[in-house]
Amino acid sequence: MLSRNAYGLYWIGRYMERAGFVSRLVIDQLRAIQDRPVEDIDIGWRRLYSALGSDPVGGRLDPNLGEEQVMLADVYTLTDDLVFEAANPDAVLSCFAAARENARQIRNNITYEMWTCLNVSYLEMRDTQLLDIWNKQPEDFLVKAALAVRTFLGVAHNTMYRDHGWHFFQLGLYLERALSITSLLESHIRLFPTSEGHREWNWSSLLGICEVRSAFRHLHTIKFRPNDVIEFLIADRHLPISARNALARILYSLAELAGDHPEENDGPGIQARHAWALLEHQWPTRNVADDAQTLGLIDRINSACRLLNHELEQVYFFYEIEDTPPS
Amino acid sequence: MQSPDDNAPNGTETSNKGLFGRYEIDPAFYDEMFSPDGAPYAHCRALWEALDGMSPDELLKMQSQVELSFLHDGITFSVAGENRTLERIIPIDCLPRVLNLEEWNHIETGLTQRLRALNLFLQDIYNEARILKDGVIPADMILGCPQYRPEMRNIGLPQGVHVSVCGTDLVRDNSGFKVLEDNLRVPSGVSYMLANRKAVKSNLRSLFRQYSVRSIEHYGALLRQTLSELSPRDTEDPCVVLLTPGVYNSAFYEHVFLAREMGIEIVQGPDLLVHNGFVYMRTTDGLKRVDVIYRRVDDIYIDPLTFLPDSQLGVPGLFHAFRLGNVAIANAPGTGVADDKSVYAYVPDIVRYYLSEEPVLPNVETYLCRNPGDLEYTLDNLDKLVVKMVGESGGYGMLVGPHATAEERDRYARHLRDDPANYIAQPTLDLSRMPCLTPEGAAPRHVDLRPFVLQGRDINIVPGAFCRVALTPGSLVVNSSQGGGGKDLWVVGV
Repeated sequence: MLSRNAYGLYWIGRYMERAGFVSRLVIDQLRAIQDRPVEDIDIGWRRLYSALGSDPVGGRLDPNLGEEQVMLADVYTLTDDLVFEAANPDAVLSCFAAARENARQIRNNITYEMWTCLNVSYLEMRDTQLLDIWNKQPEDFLVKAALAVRTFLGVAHNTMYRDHGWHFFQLGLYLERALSITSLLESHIRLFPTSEGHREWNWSSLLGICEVRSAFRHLHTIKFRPNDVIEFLIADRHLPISARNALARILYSLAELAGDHPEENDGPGIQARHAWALLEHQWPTRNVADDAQTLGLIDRINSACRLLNHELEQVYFFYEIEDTPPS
Repeated sequence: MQSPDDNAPNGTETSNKGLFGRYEIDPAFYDEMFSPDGAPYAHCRALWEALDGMSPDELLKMQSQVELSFLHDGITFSVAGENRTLERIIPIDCLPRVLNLEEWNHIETGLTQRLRALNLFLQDIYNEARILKDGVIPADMILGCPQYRPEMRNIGLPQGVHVSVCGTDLVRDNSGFKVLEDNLRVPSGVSYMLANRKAVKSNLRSLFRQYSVRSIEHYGALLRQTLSELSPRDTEDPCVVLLTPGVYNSAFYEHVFLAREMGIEIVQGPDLLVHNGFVYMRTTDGLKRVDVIYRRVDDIYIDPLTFLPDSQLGVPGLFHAFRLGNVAIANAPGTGVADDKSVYAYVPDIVRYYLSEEPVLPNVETYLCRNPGDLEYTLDNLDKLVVKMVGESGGYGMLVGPHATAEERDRYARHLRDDPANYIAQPTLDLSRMPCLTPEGAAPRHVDLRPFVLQGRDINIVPGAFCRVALTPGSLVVNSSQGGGGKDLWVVGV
């Protein structure tokens, strides 16, 4: 397929996954401000921005938040930045706009149902401003956005032909997911070391962001241990959002794309297998009491995923023309 | 050609109730639905009866649902806004225009004749130039035309086809159909023809079934076949692509739509490259040779090495590959010379010269301001004429004399005297009218139509057109870029 179309599909997957991820992060924060102490809210923002790898709008967060008015003003500003700010590429609406713009350019490579699903969601959201929803239930907007993402992914799953386009879409989606979950866990563990006495709320909030609280409770009904949460989100075989599951999907799609010539241009495969090997062989043998070791491994998986993005660009999207083309 | 239904009531009233209760017929304008005595034409009678029983509110609600579905489907065109590009829909009027088979056959015959002649003309002026040597058309008009491409000289094209896709604007007055304009470069609007059909067909389902409306849904397949026939490579399945300027082009939706209808890739300049005289597209499996390019990019942008050097939309070396005969480009570069508004005045002569036939479809009377007598007449009658710049389209650079102020006419007259060869003038047209939906019921609005003609090995026309309508009461401007809308056109009969 045309490289530009493959690139467009790849980024639709990435942007939609990111839109869902950021929506869930902000929903968690907006719920926290209703009943959590100021320090929890403050640390929640730190985790959020650290996971996104960006700085809060207006600079660093004020560590001395305390006055309710100041806190609420900041919550408003930060929420606006993360949901509606056109200049913030990670903002929920920016992700929808970017995904929709990609879809518009490559409409022939997505289904009619995918296009209308995405277009209608975007048109419904684009004229909303935070001021319009702030005094009602601002998280409702984000719940709808997250639902729109899930709907879109479901529509794609049920309507898209399983050709190369599908696999590029999957690569974008699962690469973004692997990056998101590893970044979030890195940020979380740095703020809430497992060796310290933990408050269940912080880890429960992490599960809430990932929408896996009930699944976790089915497995771990008696004791709530931070390492169980980490294990669940990184390495669980049956959890759709786990890093392991994302990597398995990436490997499958790469194999499908390589077809009968897996040895050619295998840069993406090398990076994906590297990340997989870390998960399969080094992750189970780490010292779970050693956060530094855990963080080191998560960071290496995250780095391999970032390199995988680069390799995909080199091999499929923007490759150099070296040999004489066939005539 | 037209015969009012014998069973219809006599008189100038179209109906004393219902949708058409307040519809007025002005004998100065041909009405597409009603004869001058107020009776619907025979082929419009079933439509009239069905619609007259519906309330404007019901139809307007349906129309707004259709427009919302256009927005959701992304059936939009782009216009430059103050801070960003805006996406707009072309408003649709749900009351279809109906032509009977006799009328359509007349149009089809005329358009076929016209495109045959224009392709022969283009083949001639870029090769032997007999028509210029014979003095049928002034050579300086052709060779000095900004759309004439000397680079096209002596290039052998498959079947001598320069124009594969033509959109011809037709108008009708009380004397019949006339050609207003030939669009031979990158004519657009066909996607709206198909979208309007789909919308009207699904919303006026039972009515549509009553008529034997001829199908237009095969346009995509026909276009694909036409383009494939141009392939320089002898292969069953040539690689055809559609070259678009990109998402910010006003017709981008149409580009995507047509590529989808044809099942071909839509590409932009950077997706293509030229190597050893062949064109390739960059795919995830490596480079793939391209045989035919349906370009929706203007001539001057397609190759920075041959035309506009700083074009970002084209493909360096593309024209070289074309010249070598390794790739076909449709429409070929340089076709714009034949739809220049000055050359338009000579099309009837072109038809006679190459085909030894009388034109089936006449032109609108045209004054070439490059001729001193015509210039004088134009200046003396500016308040009665429509004056157009020869290289412009879409209603831009135009003076509608009767609607202009004295100051605007004076300013335009100065431009005319400065560069008369750049202008033509035509009488204000009595564009035909037909019922359009308004909150008060059906009201008359001016319309034209743009059928699309395809030429590969043969000439084919789907029985339909993008019917444009001036939505403002009394306005003659039907261009979508200037507030016009669209209608579905039904060709009925077997």
